Amino acid sequence: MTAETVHQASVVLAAALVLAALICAGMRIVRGPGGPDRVVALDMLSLLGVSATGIAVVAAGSTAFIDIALGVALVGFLTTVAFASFIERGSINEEER
Amino acid sequence: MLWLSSLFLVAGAAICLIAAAGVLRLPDFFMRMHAATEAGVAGCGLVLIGVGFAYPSPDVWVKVAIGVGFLLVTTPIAGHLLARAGYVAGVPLWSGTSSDELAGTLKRGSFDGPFAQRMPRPAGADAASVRFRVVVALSAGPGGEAVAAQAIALAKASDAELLALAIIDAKQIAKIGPVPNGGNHYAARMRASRLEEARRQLAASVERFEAAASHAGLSYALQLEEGDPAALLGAHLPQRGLLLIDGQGWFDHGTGDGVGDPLGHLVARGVFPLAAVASSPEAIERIVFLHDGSPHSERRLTWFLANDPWPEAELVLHCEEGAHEAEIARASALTARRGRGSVPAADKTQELLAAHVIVHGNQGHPGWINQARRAGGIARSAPIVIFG
Repeated sequence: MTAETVHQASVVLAAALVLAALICAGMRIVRGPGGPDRVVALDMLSLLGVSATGIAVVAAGSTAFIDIALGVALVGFLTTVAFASFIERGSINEEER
Repeated sequence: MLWLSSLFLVAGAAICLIAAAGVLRLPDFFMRMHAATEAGVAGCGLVLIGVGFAYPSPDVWVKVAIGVGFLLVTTPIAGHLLARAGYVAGVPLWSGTSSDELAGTLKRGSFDGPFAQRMPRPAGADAASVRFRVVVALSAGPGGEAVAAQAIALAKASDAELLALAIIDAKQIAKIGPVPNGGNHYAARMRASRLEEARRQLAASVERFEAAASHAGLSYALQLEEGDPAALLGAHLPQRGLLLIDGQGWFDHGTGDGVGDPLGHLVARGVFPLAAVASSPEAIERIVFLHDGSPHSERRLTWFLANDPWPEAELVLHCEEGAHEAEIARASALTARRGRGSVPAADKTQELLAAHVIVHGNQGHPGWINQARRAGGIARSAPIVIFG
């Protein structure tokens, strides 16, 4: 058993684990029961997206994908911040408070 | 290197899965948020480090470091923002939550919508299962002794939980009026000395309360707070029981100008039902309930009868002029069921003067209170006034 084969197997295993995690987070989005819970699940999904992209780098053998992981992390953070202020104000429109 | 990479990748993915399971399985919003942020960042970070070990070259490691650093900085911020937003929006807490440290600090909205009803209600929402609770706001004002004595008597008679709140309205104490040029230094000293004096006064009344309570053989809880009294009292309104305040003194404990009418001020801020105690009578024998014929009055009457802090006393129902017959009949029926209820006598003034407790069943809004004050202060002359 060489390091190569173990590494390949570990990539498959990690991908399977992240897939299961994605399904869990997706179920939370479907179940809710409220907007804030869905935003938390979305935050979790974007973090899982970063993990999935990291695994894709190793699976595809192309280091260019790391930039995509950074992009996903950035977009996920901004989404969460925007949704948080949306929840706090109760509406998208500033004047409607 | 590849061995390390395998280890980190699998470990990171496993933590991601644990975090996602937490998001799916944990019972309330705040716990889910905690699972998502804390475990999410660790999982992602480990996976990225695993990628770094798979392709060990400087440019990959720099990118990995940027990614991990970015996650470490942003995820706590996002989590904090989400938790704050959820709390402010009023997302319900898990029914097993034992303490809410933010109560009275952050304003909490009501989370309405179709999902709010489906959340499990907090345990003990059922009125019958809640223990009677007497909450007393200690103060060093003119009625301070009376309110403490009344609270202790009430808690002893009804075998209730007793919670004493010692509140200092630091903002009110800091208001010292216009300051002349060059007076800022002395103004600051004056503020500090007034705050110190208020703390000393409050400590003295807390000591007196503790002595009285232990003399009566009661167990009690004591909470010291500094902040906006209306918000703090509002957070402690008991589900079943009474909130007692000093009818004349404000929470500056005699050091500042205070608020002229504490009861009116608090009711206007939405803190009611509220009992203001001016003096402590030997025994409560006569309670007058003022009914204005509104649905709010009726709710308040039902509330009062369900609580009934003084079951031995006689309850007199007094309806305002202009109330509909049907409403009066309904209210009379409710009162009659209590046993010691009675129909009002002809002379309203005498009756109100003889009462030990006056319950205002009217909607608590400032306009109405002004109206009551215009009516000659009779309705506020009783030792104990309850506003609903």
